[in-house]
Amino acid sequence: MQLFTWGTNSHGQLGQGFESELVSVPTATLIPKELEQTISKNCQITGGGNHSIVISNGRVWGAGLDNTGQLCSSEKKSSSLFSEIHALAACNVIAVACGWDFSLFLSSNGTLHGCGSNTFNQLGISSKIATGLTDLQHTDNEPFVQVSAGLRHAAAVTNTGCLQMWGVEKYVNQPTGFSGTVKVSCGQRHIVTLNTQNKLVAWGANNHGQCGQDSTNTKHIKDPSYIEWDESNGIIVDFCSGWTHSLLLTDRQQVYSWGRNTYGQLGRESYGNSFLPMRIPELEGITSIAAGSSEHSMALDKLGQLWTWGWNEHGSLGNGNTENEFRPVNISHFFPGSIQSVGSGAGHSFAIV
Amino acid sequence: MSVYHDEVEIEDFEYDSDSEIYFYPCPCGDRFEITKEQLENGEEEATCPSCSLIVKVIYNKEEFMESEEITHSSSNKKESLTT
Repeated sequence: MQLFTWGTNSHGQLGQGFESELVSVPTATLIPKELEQTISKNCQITGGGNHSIVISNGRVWGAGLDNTGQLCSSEKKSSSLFSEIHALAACNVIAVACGWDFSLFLSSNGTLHGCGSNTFNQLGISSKIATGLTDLQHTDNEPFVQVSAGLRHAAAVTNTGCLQMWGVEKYVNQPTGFSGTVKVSCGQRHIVTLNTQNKLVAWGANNHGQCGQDSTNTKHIKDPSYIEWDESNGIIVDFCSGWTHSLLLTDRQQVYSWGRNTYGQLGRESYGNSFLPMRIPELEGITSIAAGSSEHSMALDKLGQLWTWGWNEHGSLGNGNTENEFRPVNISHFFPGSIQSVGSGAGHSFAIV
Repeated sequence: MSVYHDEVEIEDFEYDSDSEIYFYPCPCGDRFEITKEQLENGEEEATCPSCSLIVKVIYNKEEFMESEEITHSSSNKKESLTT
């Protein structure tokens, strides 16, 4: 299998061996042999502002900017080629979340490891200057099962459904008496969670309706609030947040979007923002979704076809140009075979083929 | 009038005292920037060197100038103490 990347490449985050303003067509990367041998549809690929991380078989590879240590290389050396993060070799990493300039890794034993900037307490440790890899435990020592990172804050869920948050974001506070969380996703200044009742709960900045509430009434949702969801649309099986918009995937393999639509992030007919999750009509048979950590979106269907939409100034949509797209475009013809898995960073995107 | 990508309060910017520039992350991966001098002149648009997006800086010019004066006078004081 091959790893394809496209979008912003100012710090070599595409792992193609060079730096450039952008790459607007999906391009195969040269990955180390050890990664090539294990890369599969089960790998997780994601990115932050200017870096990229691949998890494969418990091991971790990174490319791009390392100015704050977000790639955890000992000499904080940026790299335009993927190389293994050896500090994590013994951690059996099962998931990764990238914030703007920091990274959080979840081990199979439920421990979180972090590296990169801690200026805003993003790593959840007291020291402002983080050196190398840090450890973060749940306050009651429950194992973490999922983690998400926003611009300057992060959150993780434990195996009993507890949500723990850290970092500095004045619009997003840790709620009290909040339980039953299944999954969390952090945006720029807001947070979305799914609970055991199949209900979405969000709070934080709502100036674009990103918390699922009418933004004409309130720009800031202080307390966790339910996002209106018609149960007859199906069960929510996954969701993800960009900076100011979110996507959800149902058990009917359909995709709904809400939040900001200035650059086409919502992928549907209306050009305005929308605080209610509405279906993107073109998308059927979708098996996975990704919202760029910023302003573009991706969906993969059961035929292995990849759809992208939203902000495209740096070629993040991989359709060969830099015009924003308000409706999903099928970019599958750029790939030599069916696409197995997708992921995205702030302005860059990934596909395993 | 420009269409702003975002409105960001000055306290949310990171300040580099060597270059006297305020920074905030841009979704393209680069950073919006505005100099201290621009803010003193009442400018409110922070631009990104790598893309077309612009953010409006939310700040009060008078308060900003006052806080600058305090910083300035306290640093002068420090100098006079050491000499």
